[in-house]
Amino acid sequence: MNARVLGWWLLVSGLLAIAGAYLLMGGSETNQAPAVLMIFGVAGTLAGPLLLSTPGRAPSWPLVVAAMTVLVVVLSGFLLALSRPDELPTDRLMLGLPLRAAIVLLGVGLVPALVLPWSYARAVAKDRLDPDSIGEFVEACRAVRAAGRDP
Amino acid sequence: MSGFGGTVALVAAAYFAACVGIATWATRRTASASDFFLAGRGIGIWALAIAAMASSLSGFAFIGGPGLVYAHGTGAVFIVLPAAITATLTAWTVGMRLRLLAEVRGVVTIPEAVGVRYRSPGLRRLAGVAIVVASVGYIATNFLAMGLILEAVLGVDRMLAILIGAAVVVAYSAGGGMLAGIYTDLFQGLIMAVASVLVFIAAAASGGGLAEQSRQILAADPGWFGPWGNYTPVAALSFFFVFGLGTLGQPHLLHKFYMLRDPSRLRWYPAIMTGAMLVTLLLFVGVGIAIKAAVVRGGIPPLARPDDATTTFLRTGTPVLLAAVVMSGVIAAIMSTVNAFLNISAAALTLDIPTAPARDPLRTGRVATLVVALAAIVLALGTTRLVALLGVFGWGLFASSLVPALALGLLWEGATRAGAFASMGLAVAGTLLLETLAHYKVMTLPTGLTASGVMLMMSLLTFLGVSWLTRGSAAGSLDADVRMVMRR
Repeated sequence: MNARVLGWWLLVSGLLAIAGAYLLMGGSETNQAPAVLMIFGVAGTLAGPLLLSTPGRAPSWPLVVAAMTVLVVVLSGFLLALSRPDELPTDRLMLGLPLRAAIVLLGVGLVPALVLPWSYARAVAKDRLDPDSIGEFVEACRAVRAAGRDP
Repeated sequence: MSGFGGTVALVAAAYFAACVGIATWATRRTASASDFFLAGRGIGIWALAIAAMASSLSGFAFIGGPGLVYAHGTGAVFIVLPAAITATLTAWTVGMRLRLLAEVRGVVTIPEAVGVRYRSPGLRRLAGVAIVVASVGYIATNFLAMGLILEAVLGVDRMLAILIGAAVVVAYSAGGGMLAGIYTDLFQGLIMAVASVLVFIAAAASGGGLAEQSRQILAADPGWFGPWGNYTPVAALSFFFVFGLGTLGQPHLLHKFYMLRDPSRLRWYPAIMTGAMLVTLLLFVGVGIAIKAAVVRGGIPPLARPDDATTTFLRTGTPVLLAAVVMSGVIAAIMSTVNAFLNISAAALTLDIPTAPARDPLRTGRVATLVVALAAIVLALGTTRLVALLGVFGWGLFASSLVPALALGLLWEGATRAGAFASMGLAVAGTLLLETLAHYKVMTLPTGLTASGVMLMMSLLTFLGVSWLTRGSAAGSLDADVRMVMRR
């Protein structure tokens, strides 16, 4: 399975998982199926479009790193928070927060911020975006449009 | 006026004067429609990213958000939790493509990009209508919030407070357009970030420190500090879905990519925007926790209204001058959001919806800004019920109508005009219908199910399904040069 196919699979299955979660919610409070479906859904619908963001060419490795970070952090962070038992006031805290809240706020809420902007900067650094290159690209687009042919 | 109110009023007056100064400078430099709608495509990356942060965080981030955290715990933070992801996601999927479309086709507005993508003036017009309708609601909601704050700070009648705040923001929006908007947003964003950090430090140090606050809350209300707070897991995760993926459809953010002077600088957008968002959202989380802990340990009585969380903390836990700066930060957040929506809706009215181009787009844009502002003021002064409805309607409509047609459409050459029409039509009709039925209690959605979440999911599936069914027409929906932009 190449990265683009994986991107489509994550996006479509993520949307269907969210639809399933919405349909199943409202049942027994002990039924965790809607929550698990929703966790997969939000992870897939964020990671999928990232993998789809280079139409016509294979994703660069920083893009794959970014998409996998989103998928793994969101999926594992929320599943871990869902599976852990309730905390007691005497339990050990993590950076001043109860463990499950820390997993959500500091894990899902901060870890992607350490990886994603760096990955993007690495990937875009290789693109030719100086004024001359952009000018050539614009001219090529105009020529293609005028000729009515596909690139 | 009390000492507290007097200090806040003085700082607010200084803040308004600074905004007027920036706006006057920008108005003198606004000589063309490009200056008015796109700040002359001459904005640097720092100004762009911080302005994007300021316009994306309305007064909700400083007032409503901390109140929600106080009332519902960790689950309320899911509204802002995707901030670590969204800036990079936006830049990677649509940011560079929109910037290049602006170079290749001279695209000025977000509806124009939709029209260019599908070779469809009808889709452009539909997107323009959706933006104007949703923007008027957003602006009216923010005028109302600004009126409430100025009423409390200045002690004036709410109607007069709305008119004072609206007059300042409309004056610089109509005069200096986006050029004034970007530089006032930059100034406002810096105030918001500084205020947020200082308040977070005060909040984390109150009540014996963050760890002690956590133990106090865990002992009194353990569910509050669970991973989903007092929401169900699906409800909290639904926020994450709508405010994560839904960011790709927010036109006031996407529009800013057109303005970047040097496309190569876009590589720093995620780092600056993500950093600015996280810093500015510290107050959102910190005040909610500090006030909840103060209530459970008996330091203050339970709040009559959750929205009082920030003002209560400022009055009881911070020096007066800091409180004054934060209240200016709240006003700044509201004004920057209003300005962004005034600009994009004026652009839609001037450039996207009319069948013939305006003779003088600069003048028409200024008149359109006034028309939208007047409509929003009438709504804000008239009926809060309708304003609340339109405010909720705004975010959901932007997300469900533009994420499929624009964001996915720029990533997928197989997307078709029929798919875009179907998803956008469903988004407009469905969001309005569901929000109206839920608001007037004709139909009650199950706890945790939001109209915006349902419609975003349904419009995306509709877009994919209809495009696949009509895949034979995909090539006819895409010009060759736009295909090149998508593949770049």
